[in-house]
Amino acid sequence: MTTSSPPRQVGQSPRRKEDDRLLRGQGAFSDDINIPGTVWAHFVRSPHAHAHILSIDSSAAMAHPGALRVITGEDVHPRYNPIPPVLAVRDAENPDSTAGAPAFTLIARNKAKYAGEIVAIVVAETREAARDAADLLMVEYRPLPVANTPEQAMGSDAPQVHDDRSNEQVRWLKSTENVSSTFEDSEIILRHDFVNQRIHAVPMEPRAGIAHWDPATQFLTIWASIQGAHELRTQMAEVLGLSPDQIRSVAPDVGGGFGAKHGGEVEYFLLAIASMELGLPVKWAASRTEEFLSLSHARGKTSEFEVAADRDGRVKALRLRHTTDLGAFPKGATPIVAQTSAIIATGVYGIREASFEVHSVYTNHTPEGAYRGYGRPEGIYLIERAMDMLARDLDMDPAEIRRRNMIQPEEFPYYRTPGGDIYDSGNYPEALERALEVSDYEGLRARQREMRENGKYLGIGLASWVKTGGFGPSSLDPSSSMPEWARVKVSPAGMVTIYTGSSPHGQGNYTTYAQVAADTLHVPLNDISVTHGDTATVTYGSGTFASRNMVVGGTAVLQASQKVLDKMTKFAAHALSVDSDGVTYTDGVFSANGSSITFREVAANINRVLERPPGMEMGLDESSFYQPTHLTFNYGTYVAVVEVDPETGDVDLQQLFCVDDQGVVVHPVIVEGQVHGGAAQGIGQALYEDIIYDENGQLLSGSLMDYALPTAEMMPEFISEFIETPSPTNPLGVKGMGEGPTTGAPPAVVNAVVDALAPFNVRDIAMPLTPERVWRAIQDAQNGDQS
Amino acid sequence: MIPGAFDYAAPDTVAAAILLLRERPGEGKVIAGGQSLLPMMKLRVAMPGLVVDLRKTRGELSHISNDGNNLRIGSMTSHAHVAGSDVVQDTLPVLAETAAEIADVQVRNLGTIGGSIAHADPVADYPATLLALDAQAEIAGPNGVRVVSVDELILDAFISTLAEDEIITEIIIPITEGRTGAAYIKFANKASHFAIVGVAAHVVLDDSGYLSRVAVGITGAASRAARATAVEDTLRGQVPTPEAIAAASSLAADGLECIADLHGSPEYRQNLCRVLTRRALTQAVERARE
Repeated sequence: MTTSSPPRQVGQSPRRKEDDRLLRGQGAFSDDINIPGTVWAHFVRSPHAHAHILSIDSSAAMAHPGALRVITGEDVHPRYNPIPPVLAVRDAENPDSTAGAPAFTLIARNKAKYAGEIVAIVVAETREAARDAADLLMVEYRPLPVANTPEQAMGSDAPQVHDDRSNEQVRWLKSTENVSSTFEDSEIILRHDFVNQRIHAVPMEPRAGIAHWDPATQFLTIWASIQGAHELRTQMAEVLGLSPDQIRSVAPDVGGGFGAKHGGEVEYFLLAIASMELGLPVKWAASRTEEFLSLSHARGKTSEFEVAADRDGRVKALRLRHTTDLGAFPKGATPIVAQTSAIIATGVYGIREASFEVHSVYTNHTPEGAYRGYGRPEGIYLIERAMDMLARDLDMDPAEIRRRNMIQPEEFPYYRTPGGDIYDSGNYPEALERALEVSDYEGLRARQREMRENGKYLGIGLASWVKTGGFGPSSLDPSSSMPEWARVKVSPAGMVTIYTGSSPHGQGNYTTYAQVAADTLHVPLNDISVTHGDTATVTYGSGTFASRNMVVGGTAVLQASQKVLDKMTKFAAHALSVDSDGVTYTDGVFSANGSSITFREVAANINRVLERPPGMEMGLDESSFYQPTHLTFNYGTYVAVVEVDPETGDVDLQQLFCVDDQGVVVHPVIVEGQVHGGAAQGIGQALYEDIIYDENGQLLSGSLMDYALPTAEMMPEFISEFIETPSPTNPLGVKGMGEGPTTGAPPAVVNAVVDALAPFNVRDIAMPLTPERVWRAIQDAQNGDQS
Repeated sequence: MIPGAFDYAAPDTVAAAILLLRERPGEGKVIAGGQSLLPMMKLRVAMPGLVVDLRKTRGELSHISNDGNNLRIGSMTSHAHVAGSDVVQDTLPVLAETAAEIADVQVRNLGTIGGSIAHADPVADYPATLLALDAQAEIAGPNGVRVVSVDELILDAFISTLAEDEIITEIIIPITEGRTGAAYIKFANKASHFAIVGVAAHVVLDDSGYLSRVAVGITGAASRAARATAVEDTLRGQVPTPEAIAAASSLAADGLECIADLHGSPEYRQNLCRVLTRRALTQAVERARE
């Protein structure tokens, strides 16, 4: 068969199909789901970071009008299982790495391990009654000493977070052969300690869920604000001791996740347990402060970083000792985050020798989890800050030092890093040169010199970065792979429905999956709908995380669409009395030898017995799995322009130039939106956001009054440009891209601020670069204290 | 975020509201725009037994007028109303400038000047400007009406001298004639957008260019807004040269016990007091000279 396409949808920016409904407030989020007879849960959380639970007296709470049940650890633990880890820590090259992760306990029993851990569930007839009754629950605690930082928790006399294991969950080592000798032989050694502070994803929609156990049919339905309905079903079955076939899990409209809603939220399991205990639908909706206390945090790493280079600025080797604060439990795949963040530290550079030492440590903090970037931003931050420091030490331009070290285009495809990542494709120098051009880098430097003469401090910061996408296989364990599934169905009326296992919560896949199918099937976008997020209608799904939707989910859609087209072509060939090879498909019309049959006619006629070729079944309904063999690696160079007020320390981020290569771009406006959104979150980490604990492990920045989430008016002018190197890993040529901007923005912004303050001899400022920190760095540098 | 149970009343008049408050001593709380009280109730920091809503008294309490000597702003007047008022713009534009700095559009649409003063939040914007302008508050209570300076009304963080059965009815601000200029400059907390420090400066120049009046109000720095008297005493009677302003501004934090929180240490707040005082005075003088 030959096809000639109508104007391709991929590469266009049609209006997003989902927006009309969502912008008019007609979405259906978990808190919008109502079932008659629903009762409400309120979770009572430990006010202490570490404490024995001596007693729980529920008599006053149960006496409150409307109170129905108080459920504690004593009720839950004997009958239900803890949440199993999502991914085990495995590394084929490093079989000695320990992987003794404790399962995530659903609810505290005997001991609370972080402030915010659930110690009881109060169920009442109304939301208000549950809240009021919870205030009457008497829990007696005996506070214990707190493991409050990873460094302290690794000490020999540190308080044990888990009674049955040491605080250091994983010590993981990986090294190339000649790191020590390269350091010994090198002319320049740069050493610096960096911090990637703990932050919180802050999805716009706080979590909510409703669980409904039907005792008559022994069937559980749960609606929840999650990133993967199937994963929740799998975990739910294990926790509750049910068959997955007894569970329907639904992720309805979800208002952002960013990784934080990716599995392991104890609240949903406890809702299901409460529903099974009472035989009633049970609902919960989190407050923002509840989210700060209990929805996973991320980043939380301190790093001792060393770089060996020659006097020409060529980096020969690096050494990294990396300590990550897991919090009290390993949520999902957190232990792996520490490793992925370490191995990316060679960045976009051809550094041949590297050693990584990773410590993952339990503390009495809220558990960490995935967050947009999944470790990669932390590692890129190290090398990109170090490159700027090295450039300054060598009196070299930050652009030039990057130019000298970059992996060259001819080293692709499939460049293997010392850490074991396999970069698929790209032209890193092109992104750098393009960013310099777009930002008029030389012009900016001239303006900087001019402004300095007038006592104004302009700063220009570069970051060249690379980021994984399309999970996929794990870099740390190539034998594991998460496939994705799609089903494409054509109705007798010719309408197309796509079923996908990777459900969007802001990514735009209603539109972009339809674009992929439209290019294969030649049908208008309006004839295509996308169904997702419900285990009752979607057979299989891995979920939405790690920039995988278009790479893995999109390829599955492409494959299933092709299967449908193949069957339609066979039918058309039969109808037109030719071989399949003789059929041409153009603009929705199959033709051969001067006669033709339309897409809609095939869709209608394929259900008629007499018209089908012998042996062909009725219907157009095909599904396909796509199991990728490689990750994709998007990359780019960002240029940040800031002006710093040295009297107040205030940073005015004026512009962010973003040159991104994410392979083939399916929907340029959505992709540019991802650049803006991802960069906004990276800017948040660089300048504003900070999870702060006091000495007792109490969260101090637990509301949006104290946790500075950037707002629209705090955003710079974004200048976004794409270059395109198709990924060789998948037939669409796409690369995952949503997390790249979160990776590129922090070092670009921090480099810009430090660059602005070069006249004051400021060498480094720890994130977030709050006004006071910037002001202090200037004071300290003026007083001769090198930061 | 669900408040504890409470009774609710929305009387038609201030007199009726005062009566309700008298009937429930220790329990009542007045709600004006609710932009501070409601969050506190949702956090259960405040759990009043009775909420007396002034929304039906807007006819009585929401107005802006110029009586020839004073700008009179009813206590239920919203920040948005003040920010957009021509009367304010013509008489004391710095007040509109201050109102426009408060929080965000939604808060400005509901939040009121009387509510803000009664709440006595140490990081609120209005107190800096109202102190610098020698504003007074008219207060209605069971025994009639009294007038006190805003300076006397605000005692400390979240504490005012308002009795529990009293309601602020009007803010009265003297209008200065002659070569006068004022400015409010705020350095906002990046999270809440409240002031870490906010400085209001008000100056009057005599015919020879000397400062006949200089007033500086500082909010955010300490547990209550205060006048920077050392700055004022140093500058009064001087020609406001950049050097003189800078020298005087270096005293801006004198006598202030600066607070520490996540967004600023005492040393940082002291620095902001000095820098912002210099900037606010410079701008006020420029405006006076225009």
